[in-house]
Order: sequence, then structure tokens, then C-alpha cells
Amino acid sequence: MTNKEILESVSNIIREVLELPNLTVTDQTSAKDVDEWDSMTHIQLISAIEGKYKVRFALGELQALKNVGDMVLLIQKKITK
Amino acid sequence: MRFIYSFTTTTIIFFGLTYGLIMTVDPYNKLGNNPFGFETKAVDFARVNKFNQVEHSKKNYTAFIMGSSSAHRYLTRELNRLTGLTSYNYSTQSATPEDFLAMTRHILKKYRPKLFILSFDFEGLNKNVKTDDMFYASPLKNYLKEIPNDDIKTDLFNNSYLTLEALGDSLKVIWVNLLGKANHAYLDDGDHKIEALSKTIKIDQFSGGPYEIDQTRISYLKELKSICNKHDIKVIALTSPLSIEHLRRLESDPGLKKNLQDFKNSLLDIFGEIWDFENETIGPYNDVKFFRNSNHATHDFSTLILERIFGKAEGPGILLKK
Amino acid sequence: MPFNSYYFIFIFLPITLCGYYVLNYKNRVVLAKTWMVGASLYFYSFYNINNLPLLLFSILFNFGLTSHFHSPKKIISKSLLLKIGLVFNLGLLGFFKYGDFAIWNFNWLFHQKVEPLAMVLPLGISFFTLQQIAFLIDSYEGLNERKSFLDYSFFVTFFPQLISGPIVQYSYLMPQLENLENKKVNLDNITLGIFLFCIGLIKKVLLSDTFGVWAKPGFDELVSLDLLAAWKTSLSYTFQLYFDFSGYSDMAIGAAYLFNLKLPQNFNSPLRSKSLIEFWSRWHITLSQFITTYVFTPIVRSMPKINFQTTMVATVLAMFISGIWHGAGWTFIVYGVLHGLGLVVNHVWKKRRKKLPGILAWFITFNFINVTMVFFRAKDLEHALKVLKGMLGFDGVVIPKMGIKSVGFLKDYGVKIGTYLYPSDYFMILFLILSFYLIHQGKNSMLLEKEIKLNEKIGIFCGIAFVFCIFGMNKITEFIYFNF
Repeated sequence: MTNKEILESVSNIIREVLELPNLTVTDQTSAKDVDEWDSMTHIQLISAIEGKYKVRFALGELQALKNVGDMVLLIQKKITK
Repeated sequence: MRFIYSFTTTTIIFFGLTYGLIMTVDPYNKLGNNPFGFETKAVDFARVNKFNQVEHSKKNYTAFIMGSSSAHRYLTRELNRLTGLTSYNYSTQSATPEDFLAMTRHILKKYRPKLFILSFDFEGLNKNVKTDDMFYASPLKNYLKEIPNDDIKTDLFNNSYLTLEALGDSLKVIWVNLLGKANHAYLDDGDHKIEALSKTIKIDQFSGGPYEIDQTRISYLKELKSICNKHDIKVIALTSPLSIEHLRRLESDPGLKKNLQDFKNSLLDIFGEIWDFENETIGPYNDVKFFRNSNHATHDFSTLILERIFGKAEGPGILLKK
Repeated sequence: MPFNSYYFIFIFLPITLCGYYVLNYKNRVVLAKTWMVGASLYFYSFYNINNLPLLLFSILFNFGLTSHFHSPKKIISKSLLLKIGLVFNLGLLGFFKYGDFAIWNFNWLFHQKVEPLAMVLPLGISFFTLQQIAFLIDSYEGLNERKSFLDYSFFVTFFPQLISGPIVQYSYLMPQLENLENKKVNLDNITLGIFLFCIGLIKKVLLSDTFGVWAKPGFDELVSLDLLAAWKTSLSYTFQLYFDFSGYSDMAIGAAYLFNLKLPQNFNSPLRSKSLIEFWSRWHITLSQFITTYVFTPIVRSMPKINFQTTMVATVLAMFISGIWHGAGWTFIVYGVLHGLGLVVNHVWKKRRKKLPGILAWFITFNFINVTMVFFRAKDLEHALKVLKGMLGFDGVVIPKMGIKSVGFLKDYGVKIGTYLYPSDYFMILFLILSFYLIHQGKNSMLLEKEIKLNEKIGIFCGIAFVFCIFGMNKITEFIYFNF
């Protein structure tokens, strides 16, 4: 998958989990910018992403996943392994 | 770089100015500095004030009262009335036998006294109660040649001056003196001004630490007695009155009870007889009319004590003889 | 060694800095690191040399164990290694920190009289334990490569953060050390370091310690508090704690900058928060991140399903653990659970997507924090309830004599007129107003770190403030978080 495709599907997941159908998601979007993206919804997000891509994030990687751009890169790294 | 430079320079200069200010104002009179000639400082100035009074007075004093702040309120006019002498109250805060010996020598430089009344605090003979720093910062220290010079600490970085409190107090001292609101507690002849009565008799801290009779101070008192004998000065020694509650608390501790006895015996040994006001006879005087707090008598009570000593009143106290 | 002491500022810090940069200048990298580890251990033992063996033991054991994750011969399985590591670290922490609490509760529950062990809590054990647990878990999950003993020791002992954080991940700190540029003296970093350190010192010496004096009588000495006294006590403590800990963090970050090392921010104006969720993203940030990452997430993942309800249960559990991490006592348990429940309420409300007006939101949040901090500070539940009772006015209301002649019918409700306000009372009111202003409007140190232009004016301001701190430091007080 290309990064663009990953970004596209991750954005959909984000919109679904946060219940924000109109949210614009880009590479720069991060948890700080979105009020609904807190620790609670974050774990649900991670869980959904792990389910979708059949990957597993290490605990130590979770903080980096608060930024969409970093998230996409990490997903890419994991699925190409 | 500009930050570092201005930070460092500001720190050094401002520190120097601030600390220098505190040292110059000397709010607790630990260093004996008073270049601005302030009338009062953050602490009572008694030693220096009274020293100057004794030094420069034109009166011919023939009687002196010495003691700590517990002797502040003996009124010279009452003593004059009872004895026909002209008296001066040379009592100062936290005075100990070091003060008394130095004062004796100072007095004899200029005067021909006939009578000394010495008021002794129980804690005054305790080795673990230090001589007041202000003694060393006053001209009185020059009259105690027995102290080796390295005992006197004039610490340049005097720790209590490196505090915000000291800074605040220095500014207060400047302010108070500038406004002319300098508050003199001491009048001519060393009398303490009359003030309103306290609301209750608060128990003042009654132990300065483990009690041990200070032999150096005993030797100073022996020297003082011998000087008085030489110059024909009558010495009346008394133990400073304690409120009955204070006394009972002291005596409830068997160790302190014994120390109190030793204290009296040491004085008896030197002076032959003492007027003891630290006993049960103080019982009926448990009122704010008599005590400002548990170890400071009021003016009226001090007068009663003098009358008792000179046989003009029935009152508290027992005359102990060796 | 406290940061706010003459010895640290004028002797330890300059000497350590000189040694570090001289050794780096001479390209003696290993020696430079060793120098730092040595200095940090000295810093640690300064309080009490008896603390040192435990720290060394913890470092050695953890290093040995985590190295084994990378060894070619797998004698022990990875998951067993992890379990041993966790048991060791938590066991050590549990024994020293909670031993007596457990004994006390056992005695109370079963009417026994087991003697408490009365051990002194080793300095910083809560922090270096957490830091190493994070490293252990990261190593288990394959996020770390093999490290040298020197590097690992440096990571754990680095003195600016050894005693009370900020808790830092290996991958955040150590790569900075490898950067060649960082081995040279960098005046910008030195400047920023001095500046941040000064800010922290001001917060600690001039603000926190002052509030501490006002908070103490109400908590520790008085038997009951009237309304105003109770509020004075609780507000003073909240400010004391905030300025103390954020000041400490500023000093830690500032000190680290002197060595060209950046530590993560720990506070971001938390008392401005308009919700409890926001609060925990702004208060003791590195701890929140640790708890979220290494406690909350595993709990959630272990649940049968990941949905709103299970995350709420996990939240309460995680906050309970966070509470008790702070101290061995029922007050800390209550503190943690209250925050857990508060967060649940917050999340439930948040789902409704209806926002409260800003001021109301802030008011509710601030008061919740202020009230829970009472549990954080009080010696035991009895003292905590004493303060809370007073705050509700149950122990009387004493109005200062300000022109009111009588309270009329209010007398029956325990309202009295007291004395006039002393100058010190006016000072305290002013101080409180100033502090509210600072926490609300002032640029916090996180922002200042990024934006401030450090010129002469700031240099002069810092110099003057620094001198006041030098005077103020003479009564050396303990950092609150030292007991952790």
C-alpha cells in the first residue's frame, strides 16, 4: 500500500472512532488539535488500526501515534516487514 | 552571550548592594554598625544605648541596677526614694554575668557607686545558654579582657543576614527611622517606659537546653564581688521573680528542681546572702498586675520587690543566708 | 542534594559542567560519560550514602536482565525475563514504599501487632523504578538494541532527572548524547538553561515556600478550621504543590540544557484546564504518559472487549495505581480513585458534545483539583476531612472585622466576626491574586522555552530575581516530591 492509501483509510478510521464525519485529516493532524482525540479514544483508534492492518503496536510506540503522519509511516513500516 | 553577561553582572552587583545594605544597617545589631546613626534597629538596642547614657551622663549616679530584661522595670525614682541615692537602671536584654562584670568595670571608670542591685535569671548561669551576640557587638566587650579574641565571631557572611527577613527588617529600620517614628523604650536613667498591662501571663520558654552551671561565669561573678569589696560597694543579689505556674512547671522536673537549687546555692556562695523570689511565696501574685509574662515583672511589682528588699513592705521573697 | 541550595548551584554544578566539557573537548567521550555518572551518584548520595547501594543494585540487575533480551543464547524466554524484571522492580518498590502500609493495614484488619519495618524510603525510588520499567518493557517489545553499561547507567542516573523526573525514555535522551554538536559548549543552551533554572528557582523559593508556610498550620497543627482559614489552607497548598513541582521540573530541564541535553516538558499551565481530561494532559505530563502507555493501555488490552465501558474501568484502575504510586496511604488511594471517577464523569459528559461555558468549566475543574489535593497533602483521612469540613463552613465562619457591626441571625449558623486583617493577611491576599494571574495569564515555561528572546533586560531581571532567591534559599525546605 502507498502512504496515500494508508492515510486515506486511517482518516476514515479516525472519523469513525471519534464520531466526527466531517473532520479533515492530513499528515499534520495530531491529538493536540482535536478535542475528541484523548487517551480514551486513542486506545480505541489503535485497536481499530491494529485490527484493520493486522499489526501490533508496541507500548513504547503508542506516544508517537498521536500524530497522523508518524502513524502512517509506522504502519507502512510494519506491513512491509 | 549578552544575557549571560548582564545576568552575571547584575547578580554580583545587586547581591553586593543588597548584602552591603543589610550589613551596613545591621538590623539585629550583631556587628555594632550604625553609620547612619539610627535611633532604633529591628531589635532593642539596649546595650549600646545604655552604655552611651552611662558614658556621657552628667549625673552623679551612686546606685546601679543590673540584670536582664526581667530587671527592665525597676523604676529608678522608687529606688532613689527608698535609698536616698541617685540610681541608674543598667539592665539589658539577655544579660549574663559577662555583662555584669563588664558593666562594673565600665561604671567604675567614671562613677563612685555605693550600691549594686543584681538580678539573676535561672538560665543566666546555664552553660548551654550562650552569651548574647549583641554583647560582643557592643563597646562593653572591651571591658571583658578575659575573653580570648578568637571567641568573638564577626562572621563576614553572618548567616542570619543572608535571609529575606534580614532584608525586610533592614528596609523597615530605614523606613521607621526616616519617618521619625523611632520608638524609644528607654528613658533617661535607663528606666523602661510604662506600658499597658498584658492580657494573660504567657509562659515563656523555660528551658534553654540541658542545665549545667557555667564555671566561667561563676568566676566572673567572684571577680565582680571582689571588685565591689575593694571599692566598698554594697551588693544586693536577687533571683528574678517567676510566676507561680512557671516555677511549678520547673520544679515538676526533678532534674531542673535540683538545678534551681544549685543555681541559688552558687549565688549564695559568692554573695553570702540573696533575696530569693523563685519560691512558693510568689503564689499570691498570680495576676497580670504583677507579671507581664511568666518571667518578667511589671513596674508595680518591681516596685513592691524593692520595697520588700528595703524593709518597707511585706511581700514575696525570702532572704537566704549562707 | 537539593537544587535550591548553595552547594548545588555554586559548587556541584560548575565543577560538573567544567569536567564534562573539558573531557569532551579532549575527545575522552567515555571518560566524560563516566564523569557524569560519577557526579550523578555523588549527587544522589549526598543526602544519605546509604541510599546508594540500592540504586546501584537496581541498575546492575536491570541492565543484566535487559541485556539478556539481546543475547544469542536464549536460556530464559523473553516473557519470563519480563516477568522477573517486573517482579524485581515492583517488588523493590513495594517493599520499601508500601511495606509498612501493608503491615499497618494487616494489623488493623486482623487485630495483630506486627512491628513495622520503619525503613527510610530510598530517594527517588519511585522515579528510577518507573524509568527502568519503561526501558524493560521497550526492550521486551524489541524497541531497544543492546546498550553499553555506561550508557544505561547514564540514562538512569542523569542527575537533573534522577530524583523526581521528568521521566524520560531512553530513545528520547540518549541519541542527543551521541550528537557530536552537543559535546561542545553551546552558549544558546547555556543561556536557556540558566534562564529556565532561574524561573524554577523563583517558583520554588519565592512562591512555593511562601505558600507552604500558609498551608502547614491548617493541615498539620490546627484542630478545626473556619471557612476562610480552610480555603486559605487548601488554596495555599494547591499553589505550593504546583509551583514546587513545576519549579523543580524547570530547574531539572534548565540544568539539563547546560549539558546540551533536552528533557521533556512536565507542566503546561495545568491550572488553566477547563476539564479534568485536559488537566491530566498538562500536569506531570511525563507521568501521565507513562501511566497511559504502560499501565492504562495494557489493562485495556487485557479486557475482553475494547469499548467505552471497558476503557472507563481501565481509567479508574489506572488512576488508582497512579494515586497509590504517589504515596503509601489511604489518602492517596482516595485521591487516585476520585480522579478516576472524575475522569469517567468527564468522558461521559464529553460524549454528549455539549460544551460548558469556559469560565464555568474552569471553575468546576479548578475546584475539583483543589479539593482532591487536600487528600494528597493531609497526613491521614482524618486531617483531610477536617480541612474539607472547614471548607464547607461546618466548623464556623469567621468574618474579618471590616466595618460590619453584627451578623444578626447568621450567628445561629456559626458565623462570627473576628479580628481585623493583619498586614500579613493583606499580603497573602495579594500573593494569591498574583498567583492566580500568573497561572492564568502568564507565559508558562514551556512557551518561554520556545519563544523567549534572552536579551539584557531578561538578564537583569533574572539577576535580580536570582539574588532574592539566594537570600530566600537560606531556609532550605524539602521538595514535596522528594518523598517519592
